[in-house]
Amino acid sequence: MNSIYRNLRFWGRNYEYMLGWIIVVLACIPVICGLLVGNPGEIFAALTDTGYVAIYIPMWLILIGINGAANYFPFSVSMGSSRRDSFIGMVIMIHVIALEILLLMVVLGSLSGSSSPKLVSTVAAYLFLSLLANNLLCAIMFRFGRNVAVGVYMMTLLTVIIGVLVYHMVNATVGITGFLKILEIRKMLPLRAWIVIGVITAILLDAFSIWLEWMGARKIEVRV
Amino acid sequence: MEEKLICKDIMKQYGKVKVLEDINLELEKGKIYGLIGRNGAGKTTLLSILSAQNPATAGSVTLNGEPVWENREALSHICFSREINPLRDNGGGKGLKVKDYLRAASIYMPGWDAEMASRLVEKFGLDTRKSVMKLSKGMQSMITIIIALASKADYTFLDEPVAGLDVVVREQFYRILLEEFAESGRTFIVSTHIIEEAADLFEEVIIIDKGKMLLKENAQELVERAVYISGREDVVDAAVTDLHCLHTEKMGRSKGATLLLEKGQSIASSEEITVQPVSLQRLFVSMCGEEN
Repeated sequence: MNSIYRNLRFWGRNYEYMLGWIIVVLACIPVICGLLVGNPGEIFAALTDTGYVAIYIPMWLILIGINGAANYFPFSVSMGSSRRDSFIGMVIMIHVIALEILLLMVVLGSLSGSSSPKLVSTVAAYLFLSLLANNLLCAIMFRFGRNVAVGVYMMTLLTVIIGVLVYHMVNATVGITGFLKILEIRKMLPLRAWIVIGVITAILLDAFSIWLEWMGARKIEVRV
Repeated sequence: MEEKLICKDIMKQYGKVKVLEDINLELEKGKIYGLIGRNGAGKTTLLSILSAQNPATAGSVTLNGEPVWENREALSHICFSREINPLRDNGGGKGLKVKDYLRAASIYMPGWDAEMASRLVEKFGLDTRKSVMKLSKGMQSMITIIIALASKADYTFLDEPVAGLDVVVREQFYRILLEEFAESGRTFIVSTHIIEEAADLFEEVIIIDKGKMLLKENAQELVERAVYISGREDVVDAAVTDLHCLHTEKMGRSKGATLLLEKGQSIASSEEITVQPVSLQRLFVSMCGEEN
């Protein structure tokens, strides 16, 4: 348990440092943009818009997660930690970071006046998907190397950005008819049941992706 | 149970290439071992396996009878202070500052002596605010040394600790290492290419060549067994019959030969043969040089 505590300290420190820098940049954007183009309050509101959240939350979390895994996992093993304990520390802290980002979004939403259960649930959903993507990308990185993982990440990011833009364009012009079909499926069960199913599915998928990541991490060569 | 780090039948393979084979070692507590080998012999790979930082393809490493791999208790007694190479693309704290490196060591190493680390930082004149990548090779070696010494681990491995250090700092390091050894009785395994300087440090020497262990022996006894004889070619040839000859060299009509005698064997100087002692470095070159 002592060893896991050491890893929580190490990973916590490094992840919080990276998140801190992102928060600083995030705090500067409305100030700079506000000074240049208009009302900083509008920028805050834009930062909590669903489309933008869909793009930058995965970027944040995966940037922090994959950089941490690539740089600090072998480093922590070279400092004498077991792979298992380092991995546990890494996984726990990236989930803590995800929760902190959720809190940050709620705060931003409150500041911009757009905070709502919909915002919180949307951000939570994106965070979960980002965690899943992070775990899978780290699994790829541990198995095939950083360059392959970065390549997959860039392709995925591009796909997401294009997908979001296309969605907005189509929705703005002709509307999304598929959405109606989603609403019909939604009617089959009460909302609470869907929430329970969603949470259980999220936990199971997260656990599976963590297991995949561990399969890669447990035997990497440390060539520090 | 006697406290030993035992490595049994270690083999390490990358693809079809065997980088270590049939390595069997027993490292006792309270000794300074010298790990000597040419570039690419497998020294760093062996140290990384002994410290459970990398897995062996076959074989086992145990500390006091318990496997070291993924064993928290065993790992808390071992420190492998690697040669820092920021150019490697496998993490390794790229982008970290010196203070971050030392902070990480203080987090992970249960016996970390912060006071000793501070003292050594001051002694070596390290600027802890600097990025490790921007340091000279010598200064990166200083970090290796500080981490190894301040870790207070029972088994401490140092990989090329004096690489890039000037002679003054090297002498300081040898002195500090001996002082720490005398005070704590820790086990040190030092891999180095600067054999002649470090030879006086070593109680035992382990020589590795092309992934195989050539010998592990008491340093003093090894050096006493090694001799260099020279004289007329036919006389030398006759003298070396049935003896373990490591290396020969012709000098006109004369010949020289480096021999490793068995315990109890001796060869005396005469009018026709000159017998001289051989340094550890000379012995190593004779054993592992290309011409042998």
